[in-house]
Amino acid sequence: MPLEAAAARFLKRLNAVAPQGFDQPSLDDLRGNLRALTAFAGTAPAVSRVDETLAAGAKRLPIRIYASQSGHWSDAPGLIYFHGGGLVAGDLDTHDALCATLAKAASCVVIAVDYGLAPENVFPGPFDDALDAAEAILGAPGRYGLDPKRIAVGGDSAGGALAVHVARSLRERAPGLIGLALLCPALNVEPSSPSRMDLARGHLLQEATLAAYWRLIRIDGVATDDERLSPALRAEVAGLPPTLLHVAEFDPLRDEGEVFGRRLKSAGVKVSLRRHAGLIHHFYGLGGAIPAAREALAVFCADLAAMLRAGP
Amino acid sequence: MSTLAYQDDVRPVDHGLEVEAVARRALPTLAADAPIPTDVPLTRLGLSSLGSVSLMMAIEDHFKIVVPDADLRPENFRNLGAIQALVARLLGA
Repeated sequence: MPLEAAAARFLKRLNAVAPQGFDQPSLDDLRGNLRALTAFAGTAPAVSRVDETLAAGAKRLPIRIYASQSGHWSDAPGLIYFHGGGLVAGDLDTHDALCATLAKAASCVVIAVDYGLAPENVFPGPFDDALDAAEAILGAPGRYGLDPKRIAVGGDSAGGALAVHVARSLRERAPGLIGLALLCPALNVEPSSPSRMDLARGHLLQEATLAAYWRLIRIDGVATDDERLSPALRAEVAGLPPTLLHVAEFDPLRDEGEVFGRRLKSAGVKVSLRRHAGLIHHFYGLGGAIPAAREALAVFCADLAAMLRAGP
Repeated sequence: MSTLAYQDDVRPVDHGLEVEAVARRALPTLAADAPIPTDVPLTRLGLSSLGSVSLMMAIEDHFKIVVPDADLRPENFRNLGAIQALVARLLGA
């Protein structure tokens, strides 16, 4: 289908003003633009929010715990969540409405992790932070009122690559993760897919932005096919938990998500892959401007709730 | 008594003030009592470029208008005066 009407309206207005640094974004542009996008997130549902710090490896990382209920809870299903932003932008606030929605609509406890951003946190720092955080939470599920057998890991955009890394690293763990939940994940550095080429400009996530992310993350010796950054290519995926993978038709990252989904299927992983027709990257953060994006996110939440209910 | 008798007393709505009120909501860093000059670029008053997209859509929603593609130009949203002129034109005021 063509671009959904409200998504087209949003893009037309966005492209008319060509946000600062759209073609050659600086680190400040990347961070500022993601922050500014929160104006389009819409109203977050009322949930309980608690900010804490988590002892993760040798670091203390800020986390925000979202729950649809207040007071005390126990044995709740949980989602450890990593925000998108190319590993160089974003924080607990840029994805606050999304995490609140996930907690409310999927009736689970969401623990959003504020991992250290590149380039200050030198590669593979964000991946190490994500794994350390997940291990710390999985090591003390009772501390967060979680059922140790119903904890999933998830993320959007580049946060999806972090979630995949965590899920791959913990395949042997018992009890293991119950699921992997990915929204428009960024799973291949190389801009070689048809969607990356066809949608390189004018669809919110510019190829120039993706190139800037890569420039900022890159350190000597890290290739574009690194299996943490580009797990859609060759990373071993057998043994991953059931995976929920939602992509958007007009997202440059659509094909790498779908390629990854197909690779999981052929490796015997249970996959629920959906393509949201007419929508764009970051639709899950644009519900205030694009009503259909709210509906698509509701579908993701329903699938997530089912995954967490299914049990081991 | 017919309400028509009061029509002469109805003053034209000042869309300029309404535009200013909508713009003010898009400028959270501006003090509540600070005037918004009509000729100063809104970017200089703290509006980011993505903020101007938000402002465009807020103006459209508020006045129930659609800015035609030909008018989706940065200069029409550069400062308060430009937006007021655009809204007045689109409302046929």
